Amino acid sequence: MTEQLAAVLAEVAEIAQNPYAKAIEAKAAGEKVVGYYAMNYPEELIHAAGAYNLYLQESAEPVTAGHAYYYSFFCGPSRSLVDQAVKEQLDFLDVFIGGDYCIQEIGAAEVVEAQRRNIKSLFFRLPVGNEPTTRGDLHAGLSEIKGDLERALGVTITNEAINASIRLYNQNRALLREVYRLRELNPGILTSSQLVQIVQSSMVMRKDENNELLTRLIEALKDQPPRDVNGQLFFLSGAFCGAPKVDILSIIERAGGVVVADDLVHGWRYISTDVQESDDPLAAIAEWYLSRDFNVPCPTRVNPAINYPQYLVDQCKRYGVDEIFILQARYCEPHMFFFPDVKIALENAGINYLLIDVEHEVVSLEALKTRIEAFVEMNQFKSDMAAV
Amino acid sequence: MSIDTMGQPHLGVQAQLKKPNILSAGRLVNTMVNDYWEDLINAKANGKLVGYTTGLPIGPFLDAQDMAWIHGEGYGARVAARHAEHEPQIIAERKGYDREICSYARTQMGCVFAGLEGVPADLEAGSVVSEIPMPDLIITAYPGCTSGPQWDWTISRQFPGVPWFNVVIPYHMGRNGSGYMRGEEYEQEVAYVERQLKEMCEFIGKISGRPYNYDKLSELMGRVKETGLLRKEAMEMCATTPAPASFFDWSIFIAPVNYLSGWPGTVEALRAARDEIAQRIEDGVGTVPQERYRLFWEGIMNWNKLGWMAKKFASFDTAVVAGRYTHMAFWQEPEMIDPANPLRGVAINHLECQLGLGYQITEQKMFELCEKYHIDGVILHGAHTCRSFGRSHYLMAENLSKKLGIPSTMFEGDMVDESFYREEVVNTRIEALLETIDAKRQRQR
Repeated sequence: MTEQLAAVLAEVAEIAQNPYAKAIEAKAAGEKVVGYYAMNYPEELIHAAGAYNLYLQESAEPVTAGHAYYYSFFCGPSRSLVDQAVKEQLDFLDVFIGGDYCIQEIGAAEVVEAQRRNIKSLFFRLPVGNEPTTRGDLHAGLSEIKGDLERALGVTITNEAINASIRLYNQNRALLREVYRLRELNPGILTSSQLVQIVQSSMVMRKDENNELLTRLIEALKDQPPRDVNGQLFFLSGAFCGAPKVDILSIIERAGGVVVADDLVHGWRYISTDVQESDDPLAAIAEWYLSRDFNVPCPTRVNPAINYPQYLVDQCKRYGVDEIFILQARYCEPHMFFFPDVKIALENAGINYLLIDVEHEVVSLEALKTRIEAFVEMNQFKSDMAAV
Repeated sequence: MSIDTMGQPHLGVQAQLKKPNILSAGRLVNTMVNDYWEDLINAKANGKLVGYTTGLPIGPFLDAQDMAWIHGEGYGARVAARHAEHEPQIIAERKGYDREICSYARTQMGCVFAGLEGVPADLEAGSVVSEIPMPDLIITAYPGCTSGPQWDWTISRQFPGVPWFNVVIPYHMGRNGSGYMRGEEYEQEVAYVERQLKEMCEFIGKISGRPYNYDKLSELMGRVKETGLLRKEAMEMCATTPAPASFFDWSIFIAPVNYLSGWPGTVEALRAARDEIAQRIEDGVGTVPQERYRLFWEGIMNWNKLGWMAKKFASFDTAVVAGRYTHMAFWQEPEMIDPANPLRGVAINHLECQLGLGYQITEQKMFELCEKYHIDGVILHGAHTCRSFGRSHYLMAENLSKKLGIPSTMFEGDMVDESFYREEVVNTRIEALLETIDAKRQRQR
């Protein structure tokens, strides 16, 4: 690894490990900060309102005070959000936006609103489905949140400003896709943990600053010599809200697994699709929600026109992998409802899978290590036998 | 729904087993449920299409077009009330459906797989499991729970080609000062739901191959309105002391205002309940032999524990008088239904159903009920696989105490998966709540 690449990755890691630091700096400098949780928010609108746009993150801290307000049998990302709020760790926010795509996140947003009255809480309605009327319904939901943001921040959000934000955000997505392309060409140049952190940096930084960081990263990656990859190639799937645990990704890679592609929200799901510039940018964002769902299907969107199991099979074929790790957040009902169909599709396609049930509080890494190692070794053995 | 007489609860050291005084009018509900079931299992033989529905009552819309219907939650509740839920839940789990998924969904899906593929040789499942008719169409109308549409999406994937219509019922969060049945957000969302209901009628008409029968819908909604008005009147009569009927009675009477909405006999059943309650008030008869405490049940019903819970609370001299599940949904605003033009009234009732309301609106409505029914304490039933109900329990607990001085307690349970119960925990928590109420009364003397 070159010094230049090491320096950029260290910068990225620092940002990922202190995801709110830059937002807090911006707040201290007099900026309004808008936080939202988790996927599916129209970030371009927030940016066009002139506010600092912060994608809140699942914290690594164990949930403690939050359990006074939320049951322990709710998913880790939602419990972590509640915990952060009641520990007053989100008090730097001017505005918090919750949304209607998952009941556990809705409940968490209600706790944030009830417990932190100093933060203005908004709610984003994003209708599900894919009916002839859905585009119009999405547009209505976007119009509502635009109006609420304008009231909360005391600004007017113009179409010109939204289009400028769309351009900036598209640049950011394109740069991240370039990082993915380089990693695809040379799989050993970035670990999956590093890639997650790189996407995470985009979620928590100003996009113009992140674009500059990514440009430096891409230059450094281009200088990397080709690396031999001797391990098993894997697709990494799931983790729809929180970032995958670095510990789990490290175990996969130490066991000899090489992750070549993913559908993580802290990954390809976040960057797969651009928003078109338009005279009616809200219509363009509405269209983006629908088209993104075809590019990377989302189990929360209740869109009968998509086929998530087949998407995973197709992705594995595209990247030439026969194995997939599925990271399923404990209590994530959207994911749990889909898993049996995913399982059948993978089995029919001859793709081996390992379902990893991810708790916020990791119970036993050692037991997980044994399972992951066994899975990697089993697949290595199969490959070796096939080659004989 | 019948109250089971099997399975006596264990009561710990502070109570002796006593029988609850369940309304005899509940027997009329049993008759209706049995009639509905007979109609359902014979539906296909009688040339009727069968619709699967989840969420709020869509039955009258299908009934108007002479279709039969299965309400997913109602079906799960029926299976559980007959203590036949374990086998379908095992079948679903073997398919890969995690037991943390909504137990209503797991139960219905287990029945569906039993219907599609037969009951596995090592399991014994009764006809209520294996005779579930297969769907010709699917309609979702889920308020306040994202898992509901995902459940129907899962069902629809088992039946490729079966048409599905999802009525998206938005959350009424109270944006920009909107409140219960008022404000811009409320008006916009009522119009949104009403439009979708109109589209749903067209969808049903298209599937049936003939124009939608709005006249029949009006007739059925007239019956729904009358049933709703009688239920509301009867419920409000229970503000008296001793309470003449309980949350457990109102749970039995859910069927006539849920999946049996508009069914023949619903008006008569609720009228009988109201009259029986009026007689009890005149006679000074309560729902428990010796009422010492009045509680509110916060959370969804536990169908396989209904009789068990009724006995348990009776034994603690406790009337569970009201609940969010029973009192804030299922045609809770019957006056708003105009049978001649019913879609707006349906939209209002569905939008303002308890699960779809934002926390501040929910709290306000719930606290009004606590005051109206002279509530001493609140049971928070943490139904493990119903995260929609559970999402605001602890907020409620804190604010009940701070704002109304009402204590509460929580125990885990579930709608139709009894494996989430720990009976000694239930006993201890109930005892602790009642002792807290006693201590409060002592201080006030």
